[in-house]
Amino acid sequence: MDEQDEVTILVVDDEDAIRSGLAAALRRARFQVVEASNGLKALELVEKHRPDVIVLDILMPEMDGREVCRRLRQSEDWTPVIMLTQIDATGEKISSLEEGADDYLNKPFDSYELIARIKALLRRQVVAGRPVQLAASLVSGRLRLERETHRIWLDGDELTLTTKAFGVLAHLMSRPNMVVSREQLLDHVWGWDDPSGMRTVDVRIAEIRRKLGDTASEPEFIETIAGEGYRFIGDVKAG
Amino acid sequence: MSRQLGWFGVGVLVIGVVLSFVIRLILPATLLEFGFHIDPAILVLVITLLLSFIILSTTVILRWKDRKIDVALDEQIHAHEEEQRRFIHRLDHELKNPLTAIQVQLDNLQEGEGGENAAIEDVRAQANRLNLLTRGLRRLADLETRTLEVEPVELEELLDEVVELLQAPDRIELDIQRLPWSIPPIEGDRELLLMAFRNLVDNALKYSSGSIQLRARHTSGDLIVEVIDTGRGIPTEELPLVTEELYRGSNVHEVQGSGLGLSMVERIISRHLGRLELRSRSGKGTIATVQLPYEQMENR
Repeated sequence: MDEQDEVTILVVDDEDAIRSGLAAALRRARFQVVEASNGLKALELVEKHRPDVIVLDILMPEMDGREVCRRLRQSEDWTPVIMLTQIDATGEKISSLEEGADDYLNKPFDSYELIARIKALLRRQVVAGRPVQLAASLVSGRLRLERETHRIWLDGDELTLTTKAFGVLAHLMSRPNMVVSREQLLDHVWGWDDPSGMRTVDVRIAEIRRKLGDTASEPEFIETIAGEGYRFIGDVKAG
Repeated sequence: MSRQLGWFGVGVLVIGVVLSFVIRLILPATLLEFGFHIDPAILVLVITLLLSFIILSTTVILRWKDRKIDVALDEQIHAHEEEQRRFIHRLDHELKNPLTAIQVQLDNLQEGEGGENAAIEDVRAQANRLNLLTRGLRRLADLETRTLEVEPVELEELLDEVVELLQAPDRIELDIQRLPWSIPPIEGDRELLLMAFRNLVDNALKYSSGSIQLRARHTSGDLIVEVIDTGRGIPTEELPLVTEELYRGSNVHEVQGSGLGLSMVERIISRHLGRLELRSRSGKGTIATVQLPYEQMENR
């Protein structure tokens, strides 16, 4: 039996065509799937099936996805959540993550992308309690980052980064040991995915490395994964 | 119109004053008889004063009305743009769910078929096209409101990046001013400027087959970037239209494009307080000139 046969995914979307389509794709990828068409039903099914990952649409009748996520986190339920956002604005994605979602996917997307994100979440080491992406400040060895005030310190000395470089570092640090593609960084930090932006991400990574005294050949913080993207390699704790 | 009328009123007043002086000098002791006696110089002065008062007050009323019309027009344009932005957001929003369903079900169909299927690929390509179009429209609307992330931008580095991104170094002749001084960095949103220049160069490459020139100069407080191609050109009567959203030239239908690129470039440049000018001759080629002012961006 494949390991994935043991994994249950809860798909929550009020659009039948999307929900049933995603369920079929996930079943084909050998996941167990349960479906809910609104937020209230989703909370019931979380209690009943204890899913391993929840795929959650934001805009739904009765109770929207953000409220579902908020309630789960309030009750100390840290089941990984992938939010399906419809709005391109970066603020929408950031607020999804602030509500406690672990990742988000912009509609429209293809099912292969969703499956890849689910697998990445499942691979992530499960640490009991509050995930680091919800922490206001993050610490990795001699590096400290305060999300709300946009400040960082290295060995206690404060450093200055441009807004975008700070966004890139915060996003990577919130996902320690996960490969984050340039497209994802561009989408999350810049709010759009113009192909001209790919190089822009590299420019900001170079800025971060320069300020942190990090190098691509012997990275202490950010590792380049050829053909894939970047990964924060230090251990990250909530500060 | 009201400005000319204003000057006319002032002119009448000046002529009246001069005329009354002249009359006083030529006919110092003459009085006119109207049942009462009056000095002709005073009469001319009073008449011209009255006339200029009427003209100047009419001017003031006309200017006040003009200003009211300008304000109303500005409000109307603003409201129209806002409405258009809201419409695009709604359209984008409403299209995303059906597009997601189509994309996911196409994946399912393809898996069911057990591999490549030309019909499925055709539908997928069209869905992608629709997706790109809605994203482009959305981005265009966002360009109006997005906060510019201004930083000093090294133009040479930026244009090198454009050439690198478009992967056609053999077709692009870069000509960047280095003497007697090199181009100073310009304050701007690096990503947006990159997007604008990439679009212009991409267009030049797409609609021509030979080499294109990418020139940059620093002249009298402005940065001038020109993208020159020897392609099919834009018909003269279409030049004012090609920067409109979704407009595509009548001679480019067989080349794929969204009709959003030049609108995007124009918006980016105008947010940098600059100007985009297109000069073209059908069958000869096109010169796209971007003019960006240094001082205004620094003082904004």
